[in-house]
Amino acid sequence: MSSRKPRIGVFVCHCGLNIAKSVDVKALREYASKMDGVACAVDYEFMCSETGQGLIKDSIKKHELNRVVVASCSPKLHELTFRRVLSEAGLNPFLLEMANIREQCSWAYLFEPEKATEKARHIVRSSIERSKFLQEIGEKEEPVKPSALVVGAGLAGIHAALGLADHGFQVYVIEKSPFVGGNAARLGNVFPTEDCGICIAPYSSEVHRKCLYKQQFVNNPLIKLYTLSRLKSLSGYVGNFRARVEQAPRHVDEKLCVDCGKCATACPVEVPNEYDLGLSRRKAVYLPLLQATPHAYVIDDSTCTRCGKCVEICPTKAINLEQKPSIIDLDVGTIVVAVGCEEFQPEGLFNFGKNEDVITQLKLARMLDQRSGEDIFRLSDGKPARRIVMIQCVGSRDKATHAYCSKICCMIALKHARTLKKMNPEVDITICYKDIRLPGRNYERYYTDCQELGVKFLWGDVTTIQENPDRSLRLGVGLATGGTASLEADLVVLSSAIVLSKETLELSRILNLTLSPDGFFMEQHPKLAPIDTNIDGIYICGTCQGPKDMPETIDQAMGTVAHAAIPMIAGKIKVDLAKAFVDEDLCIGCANCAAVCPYSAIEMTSGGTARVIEAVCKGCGICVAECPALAIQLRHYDDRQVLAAVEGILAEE
Amino acid sequence: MGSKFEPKVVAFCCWWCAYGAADLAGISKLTYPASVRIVRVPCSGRIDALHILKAFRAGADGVIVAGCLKDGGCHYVDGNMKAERRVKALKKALDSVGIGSERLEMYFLSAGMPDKFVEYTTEFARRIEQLGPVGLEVKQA
Repeated sequence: MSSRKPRIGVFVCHCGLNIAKSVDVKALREYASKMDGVACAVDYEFMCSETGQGLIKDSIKKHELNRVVVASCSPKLHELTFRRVLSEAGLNPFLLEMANIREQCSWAYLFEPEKATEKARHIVRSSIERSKFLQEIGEKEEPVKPSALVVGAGLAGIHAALGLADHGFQVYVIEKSPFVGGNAARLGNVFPTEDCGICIAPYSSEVHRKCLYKQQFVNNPLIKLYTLSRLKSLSGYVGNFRARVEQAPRHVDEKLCVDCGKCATACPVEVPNEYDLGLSRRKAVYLPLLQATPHAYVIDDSTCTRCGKCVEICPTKAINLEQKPSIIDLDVGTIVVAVGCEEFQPEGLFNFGKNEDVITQLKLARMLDQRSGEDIFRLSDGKPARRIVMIQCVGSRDKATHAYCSKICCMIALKHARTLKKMNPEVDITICYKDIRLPGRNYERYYTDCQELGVKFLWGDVTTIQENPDRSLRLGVGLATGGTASLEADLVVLSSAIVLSKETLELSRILNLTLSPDGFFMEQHPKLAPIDTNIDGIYICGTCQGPKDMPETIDQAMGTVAHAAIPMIAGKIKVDLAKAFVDEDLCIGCANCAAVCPYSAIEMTSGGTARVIEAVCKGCGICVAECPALAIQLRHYDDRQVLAAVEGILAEE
Repeated sequence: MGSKFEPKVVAFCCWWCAYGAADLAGISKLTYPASVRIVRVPCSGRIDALHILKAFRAGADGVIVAGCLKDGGCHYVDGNMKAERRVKALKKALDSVGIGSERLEMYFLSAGMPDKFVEYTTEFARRIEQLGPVGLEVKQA
């Protein structure tokens, strides 16, 4: 059909007013209808709607169309939709060309209708010209492995893993630390329910309120957890990914360890416990926290001296100091990325890092989690902290650090202020804020509670901070209402931003995922596809996608379960054959193409010519640009097709 | 043509990054010169001298090749670096044929950099505006 004289249908979408407001869609349709090869031109309010799709199908039949140009939004949004429409009307889906007149036109020139309409004409003309050279391309079905990889075992990762296992899929979870729970396990009581973060972290419909170490996450036969593990490389595509994981040695056999703690008693090395941000100390062989899951000791390679005392004393012979890192290859159909975030360390701001009594909210959470009695204490001299000042938006909503709002810091500050006031009503608490933002459900009462309990709210910026002779701190505040105020504090708590860790940057490269301008993993669409990514079969959830609270994190994790399940339930995906191919008659056997192919998808045959291995080719076209004999082409982006688009977009009206 | 020269700029945008950045610019309602006309390609490494020269011949006053970020940002491993090599070589050739190397530029950006897309294309379009149209003899060659 495609070789016949082109009969092109042009379908101009209004997208409500998204396009029609600045692009004159009627004039555009009129313009297209007069172009050579165009058999029909139609405009409609929403081409992607059921009616719009029906309109295209009917026109294909009525006008015997053999090419379809849809002038609408970005093909990133609806190319697959309209390809399906073509298939359903009996046309090969690759005979579709999309003209992006929304993202590239109406939205970029929102208040300049003439410019938008003129540019839309260029784009539509380019699409029409290119469409004339489109050819049918086949598809083949590939099986999808019914298994998933979850990267990160914090709140989001645990929920995603449990959800996928509930569907009956094999789930592999890799976690960089020796235990699961992520940041949730460090927060103490969590809002809005004030229950323990460790307990809530693994909440699932079946095991509500069971402590992390008891619950089914580690005992689920479909979940295989790899702690101390990192993703080293990833190959393949949706349905057939291969993930290479490196697991660092724990040196303690999880199955043999009986949690007697004799090893830690015998261990001579003592270092700060990072789980507690250094508030407590641990040995080189240690259990990070009492509720650690997996509930087994671990040896920290960086501080262990290999003295062997733990090996001698262990009653179950669970310790092996010679254990080496291992490499594990996992074959999975889909991947959920849930690597979470970390707290911004505001070095240099408000004397943080210089004065021990300037801490972050996470450290305060650890202090409150370990408290006994009615006070918390200054880290510098152990005296009760009775005057506490909290500073909001540290490293957030600030162009010098991070422009975004970290979303949860207001609630964390209020939660802590409320807890402190309830512990000891005599404690004086002042919160210095820019705005108080509590949009979550059941959150507002923290504000009213704090007001009733006598927490003071000061609207302004802390401009100076200095140490008094008695080690207390004096803060100068520039008030938003004008004037200044002076505050005395035993403890200054910084509500610090949420950021992604540096290693996440490396992970984004391994996974080939894009990062947003704000540094978080970028979703496929900020509104319509918030958990999908630029890579099919890879989904994101939790704070690695942006600052969010626990209910939102769990929502997203459940969303990734639903989305990852789609190809796995179907059991197969369609892979198009828009790949490179060689014209053997033209090939001179120079092997330049094979040399530049990033995937080793080109082999040289015994006849001395190049051959593309279709299953391996990813359709980048790098080889095509390298061929000196014009012997290799890329289907759907061959030279004629690219040049037709170029000439079309430049042609004079 | 009116009194003011309005250049035509072809921007070859790789599907994974530059095209996405242009989309996000639109989604964010950022504006950039309408003279910048985007041609979608799977990878900047797909672009060779033929496409660029044909673009000039078809009336382009400037050509942009926009690919993924360097140092591992490319969806196809290193297609962007291959494109850069080709662009550099072609720039020299453009000088010798009288079009001028400054009419061709390669940019690297991620799909999450709409601001960079706007900045690069705006700068480039302004540059071409100042250079004026490509000599007629070139177009007729």
